[in-house]
Amino acid sequence: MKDFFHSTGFKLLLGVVFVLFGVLLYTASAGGSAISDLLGLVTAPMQKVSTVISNNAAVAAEDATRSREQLIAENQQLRRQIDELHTQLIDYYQLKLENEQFRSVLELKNDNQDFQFVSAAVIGRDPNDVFYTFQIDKGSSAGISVNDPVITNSGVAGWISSVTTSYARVTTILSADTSISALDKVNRQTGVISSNIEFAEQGVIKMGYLPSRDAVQEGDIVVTSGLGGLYPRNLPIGKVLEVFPEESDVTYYATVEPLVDVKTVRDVFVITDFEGQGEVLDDLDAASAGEEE
Amino acid sequence: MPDKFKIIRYFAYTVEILVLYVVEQTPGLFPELFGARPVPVLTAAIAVAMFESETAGMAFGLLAGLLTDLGMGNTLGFHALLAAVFCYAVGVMAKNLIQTNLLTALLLGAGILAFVFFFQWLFFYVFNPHNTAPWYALTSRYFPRFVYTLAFMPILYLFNRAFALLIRPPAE
Repeated sequence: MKDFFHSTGFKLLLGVVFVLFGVLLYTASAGGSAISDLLGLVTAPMQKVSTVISNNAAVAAEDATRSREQLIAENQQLRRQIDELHTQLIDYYQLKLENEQFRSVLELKNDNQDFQFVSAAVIGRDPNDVFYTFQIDKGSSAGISVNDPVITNSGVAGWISSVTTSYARVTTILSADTSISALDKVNRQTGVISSNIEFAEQGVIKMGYLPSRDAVQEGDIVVTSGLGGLYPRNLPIGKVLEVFPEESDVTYYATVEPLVDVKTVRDVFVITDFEGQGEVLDDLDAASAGEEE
Repeated sequence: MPDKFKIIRYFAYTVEILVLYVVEQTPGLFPELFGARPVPVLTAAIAVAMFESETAGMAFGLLAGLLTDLGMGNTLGFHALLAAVFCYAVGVMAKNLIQTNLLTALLLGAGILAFVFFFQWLFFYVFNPHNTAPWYALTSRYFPRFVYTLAFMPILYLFNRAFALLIRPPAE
């Protein structure tokens, strides 16, 4: 036993534990490190290639595993669709630009000239996370920074929770760490979007701090209110499902079905800059600095 | 002169761990079971530690742990510390205390993975003030993840056993 504690291996283990403990304390306080950057430079391109291969293989496998009957049925359905599309083609060119304007996130920029977008692909999903956090293939070198909103064509997907040079991590709207000031688009009722593990498992989020059961109605669209400076206003979040009383106080909350399925999303846009971004954070920083003085 | 078989073997282990990391992080490659996805990179490090010296085991545990930390993006060093210590202990036990076979691999794997996921739940879920329903999270997410990850032990044990036996000088 005495030999064991004097062995080179054990001394090496103690050294490693000591160094790792230092790294742990450093990253816990600083929130990032050169080691993360370095490892990310190696693993991010590998993940990108792996994701592309996996996506292509999934599409190929889907075709290969279908039965003859399924293919015949799909063929008939596609023929019907072609007929329908022929009739719609007459209006197609006229409607094309208008359609794209509503459906593409790039058109969002027309209404929000102050928005700066970076498009990114999802390259990794960590199995250790319970709230479907994912990695994207763009990092600080593309202008992305912590707290930037992440959206898709459909609406809000989450926010940037950490960033390295080559990739960034997105905490989704299903996470308990997410808190968004929201607005019911129909009756202008405000609330706060949050979640917990039980809601996340059902794929829904919660709009809290509602004053009454009638404050929002089933089917109402919920958008970002813009308060807080983390998200620009009017980004779609989801659709109201049901309203319940809170167990802990006299307010009500609504379950909201997000418009973005964050469990399967593949491509996102990061809003790197918009008018009013971080205003409240800056005010808070200034206030806390003032208190310290 | 350095043992070229050892270098090749270590290189193979490193590639194995890197590939497993990329595969576990790739969306959609491993299907979700009860909402959980596996973390085979930790299982692989334990399996490697059973066939190598304690320092080599520690090094591969360190690599697997660092990659897990990188994937989680929270605190770099948490899993690295746990995996390095546990893999060192596996190396010592495999050399002095236990027989190296599938049963001991499964038992050691179960014990270590249970510890790692329990600490993960404690530090990253329970200690996060935003999270609620910790017992629900433990049973509905962390336990299925533990079982799913442990399920990789037989195949990774046999795979690394093959590496350890085949990539050796003929005289050994």
